[in-house]
Amino acid sequence: MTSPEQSDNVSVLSAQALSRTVQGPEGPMTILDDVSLSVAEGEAVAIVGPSGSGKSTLLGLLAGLDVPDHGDVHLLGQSLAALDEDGRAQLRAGRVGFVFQSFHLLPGFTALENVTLALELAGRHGEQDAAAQLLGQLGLGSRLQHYPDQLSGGEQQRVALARAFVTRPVLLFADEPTGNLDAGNGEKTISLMFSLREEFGSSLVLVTHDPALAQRCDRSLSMQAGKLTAL
Amino acid sequence: MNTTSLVRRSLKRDLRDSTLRILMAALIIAIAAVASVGFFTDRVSRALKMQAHELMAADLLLRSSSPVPDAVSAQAASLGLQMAETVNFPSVVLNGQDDSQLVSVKAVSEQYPLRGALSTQTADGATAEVSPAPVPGSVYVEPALMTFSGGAPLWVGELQLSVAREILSEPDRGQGFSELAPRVMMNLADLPQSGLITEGSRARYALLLAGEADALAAFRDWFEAQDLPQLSLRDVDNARPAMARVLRQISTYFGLAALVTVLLAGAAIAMSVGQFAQEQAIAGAVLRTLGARRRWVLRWLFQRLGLIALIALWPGVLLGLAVQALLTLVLGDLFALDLPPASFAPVAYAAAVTLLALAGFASLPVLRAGAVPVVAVLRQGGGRLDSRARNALLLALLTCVVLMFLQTGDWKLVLIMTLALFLVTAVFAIGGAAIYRLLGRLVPSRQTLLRLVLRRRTPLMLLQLSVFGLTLMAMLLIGVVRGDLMRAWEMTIPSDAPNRFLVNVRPDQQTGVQALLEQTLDFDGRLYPVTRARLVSVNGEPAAERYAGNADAEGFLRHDFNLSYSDSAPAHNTLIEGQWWSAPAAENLISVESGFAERLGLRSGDRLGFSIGSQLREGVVSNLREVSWESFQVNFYAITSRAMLEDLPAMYITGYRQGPQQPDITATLARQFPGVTVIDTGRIMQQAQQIMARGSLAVQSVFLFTLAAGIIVLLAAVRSSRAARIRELAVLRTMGASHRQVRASIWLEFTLMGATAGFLAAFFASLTAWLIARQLLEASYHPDPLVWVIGVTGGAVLVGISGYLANRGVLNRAPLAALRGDV
Repeated sequence: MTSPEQSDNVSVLSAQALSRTVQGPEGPMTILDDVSLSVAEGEAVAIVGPSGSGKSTLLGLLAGLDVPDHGDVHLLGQSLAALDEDGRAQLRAGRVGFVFQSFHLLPGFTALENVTLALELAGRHGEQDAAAQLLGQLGLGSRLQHYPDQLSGGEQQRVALARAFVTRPVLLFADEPTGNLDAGNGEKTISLMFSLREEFGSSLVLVTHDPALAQRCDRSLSMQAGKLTAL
Repeated sequence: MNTTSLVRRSLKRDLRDSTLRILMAALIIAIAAVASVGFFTDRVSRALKMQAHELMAADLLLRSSSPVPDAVSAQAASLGLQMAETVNFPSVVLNGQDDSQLVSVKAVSEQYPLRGALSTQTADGATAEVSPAPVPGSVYVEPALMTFSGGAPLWVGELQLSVAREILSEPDRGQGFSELAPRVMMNLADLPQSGLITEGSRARYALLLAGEADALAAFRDWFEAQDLPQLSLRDVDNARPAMARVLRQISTYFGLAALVTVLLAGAAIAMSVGQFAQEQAIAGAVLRTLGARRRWVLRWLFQRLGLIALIALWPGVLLGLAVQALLTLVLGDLFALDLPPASFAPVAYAAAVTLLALAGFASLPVLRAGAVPVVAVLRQGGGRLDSRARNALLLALLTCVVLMFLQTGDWKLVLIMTLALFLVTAVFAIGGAAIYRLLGRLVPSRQTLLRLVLRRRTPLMLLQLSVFGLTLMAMLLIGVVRGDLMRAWEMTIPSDAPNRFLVNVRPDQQTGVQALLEQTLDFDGRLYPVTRARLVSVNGEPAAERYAGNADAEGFLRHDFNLSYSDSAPAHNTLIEGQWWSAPAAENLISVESGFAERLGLRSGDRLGFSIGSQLREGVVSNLREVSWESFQVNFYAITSRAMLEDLPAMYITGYRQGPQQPDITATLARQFPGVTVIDTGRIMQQAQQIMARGSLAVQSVFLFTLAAGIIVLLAAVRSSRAARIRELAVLRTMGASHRQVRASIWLEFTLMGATAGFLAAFFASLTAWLIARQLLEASYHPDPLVWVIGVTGGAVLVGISGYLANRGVLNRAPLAALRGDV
């Protein structure tokens, strides 16, 4: 068993003493209680736990999508506490990828446009070929001009994978990436995600409630009642 | 990254998005409504400005009901101003066959017109764009009289004058009722021999002036220093006050109809942008996870809406142009102006109004969409916007008020309109809710679908019902009820009420006219002496000072009115205060009509001073009379004792009934009594009704926009509640409802809403008509069943079809997908 903060190499992500409390109907509820962790360059870390244990809240704080009540996150060597929301967005651009449970493709854009958008927001224009190539690699070569509502769930999640990896991110956050998929599509998505991660050398923080999926990561951490422990 | 390329890429999809299509339709209707009214009023007002000199045929105009004093002409001449004179009055002319025709005579001096051009043509069709005034012994006539004269000379009073030319256009042609009759233009030099004008005749005299600005200013200064209350001075700024007033009224009424359309469109804009913001909230959050800044996301959202508005501007403007063409066709010739082509100013105004509406109704939802916490992407169903949004409602209300002020420029009117809109909407909503509740009690329990539909009494649904009800009510009032009211009013006119009026009867003709009327028409009335007078003082205080700021009273002070004298009270008047004087009274006594007394705050014992020509006369109010104006008898605001007016020149007037079976004495009167004018009120009423019918058609065409906006509100409301409806129908399907039943429930829901709105509209339209009939016209009004048929059927068909079409897509949804929340 290792500590959540254990890491052998240079860390791309570290969190110190994060805590988060929300106001519930019966008084304050602690969602995260003094959580610390560190993710090394190229490392894949799974965070497992039952529904409502605070996994997604932690992911949001680690990715700078939200701010903790206490503690700080260092993402790619930069303290998030020192940045405002736009600063955090800029830090993520092109370096951090996301895969969501609900895919979250932009409905008004084709598969290719969804992927190209990530490149353009990172200031990399004219790389449409790279986007098309990656989509082709994920078996969507014939779906480039399709809109999200013309794609199946599995295909949508593969477009989301392409969008997450097209910038060759240093770090990828994945939130229950198979939660809305059947077993076959889920397995396919996970295989592609891990192979792309390996190909691009991206670190991975994966939130899941599936222990089998967690085992594919280098390290698994368990979230229980707001506390993070190593498995 | 620049948002522009992203906006461009979003556009293709946005144009196909049903929410944004509704937004675009709302914008198009709002722009079209504002632009059509704007184009029309802009063209007429520019024509008025551009043609102001021509409209007066002069730079400066002096008008009076008596000849302009020589001192005034002498002053104008000394300043080197050009001068022309005109005298206008109604009269009757005869053709070679002794047929008579009521005409509007204009006698002009040789210099006429000083500005603009008199355009005529000869019998052989030779046109002269600039014609001199008619020479003595000849007249020019309008086309209607060419047929009447057959090219032969016309008897104008005691003179027979040849018809020299046909008038094509006359620069200062008036538009009043007395000017409805066709024009006969004669030389001023012929007027004395015609015998048409004697002292006391009802004529309008004008002195036209033109010249250098300095000389005109010097003349104006001199004139203002004189005490000449019987003369009124007009310049290009108030060249046609009556027309300017009509234009102001048209732009206010049409402007308000357009405004109602904009407000309705605003509701549709608010709903569709709210839906758009909801749909874009998560997209914005996803973009921010990918590194986009919040401001960038907002720019992306606002630019898309701006682009949609820009695209909507052009079809809106084109539609507005088409409708203004219709308005011009229907109403344009009322103004008798050459309308200039449409300018761009109304486009800018319509664009500004629409942008304001868009900003006011749309900015807060979009700002809220941009402010969704980015962490919402991690939550199931995250990114829900607060639908209550009090701030958005407040901003929308503020926008409504600003828009209303922009359109009316009158805070009082804005306040009244806001309150009235709230009140009427509330009344319709309460009425609708009551009908639904009542039906809910009456429907048997096995009618599950109907009961379900009746329970959908959401505030939004009641608001939609009010919108349709209000619009239908306006359409019914203008389209159907107006005719009923007109008929009801006509019924109140007694069958023996006079339908012809005789004016300009000279004292020496009085006995002869009376005898002719009695012999041929069983006339039992009398002729009344009439002197034109203006009220100048009350109890020694100048009337202008006493009534300064009192618009109601000032109306009486600006114009001369008819004053008569009599030894006995008119038989059809009722004395309500004081006694009639015993004839012949030696003192100067006055009997005042009660409404006139009320408006001017007059009581028995008050001393009234009148200016009559160049004379001043004073008398004491001795009694008040109630006059039934609807009786169509000859009536007067003030009648004096004989002593007060007898020595002054007067003309006589009377009214008589010309039955269809009786010999038409118009020609006899004109031949035997030159100068006497017969006014056919039946024909004037017919013309007035034609004008009203055209006005109604124009107002209805503007209200069509309101109706269209109502349908768009319905579409927007259906779109915004689409997800909930899909889920509801899916639940019904899972419980065993057939596809046919589900479709029937949609039909039923909207048809019922339309029928209820139509029913309420018919009810309130009939109620309004009844109130108008009872309170204003004092007529009995029997509601036309057609109002109810049109209201209920029209509402049911219109709303039923719109509602069904808007929901068609919902019916094809698989219940499973809907229940998964996959909608």
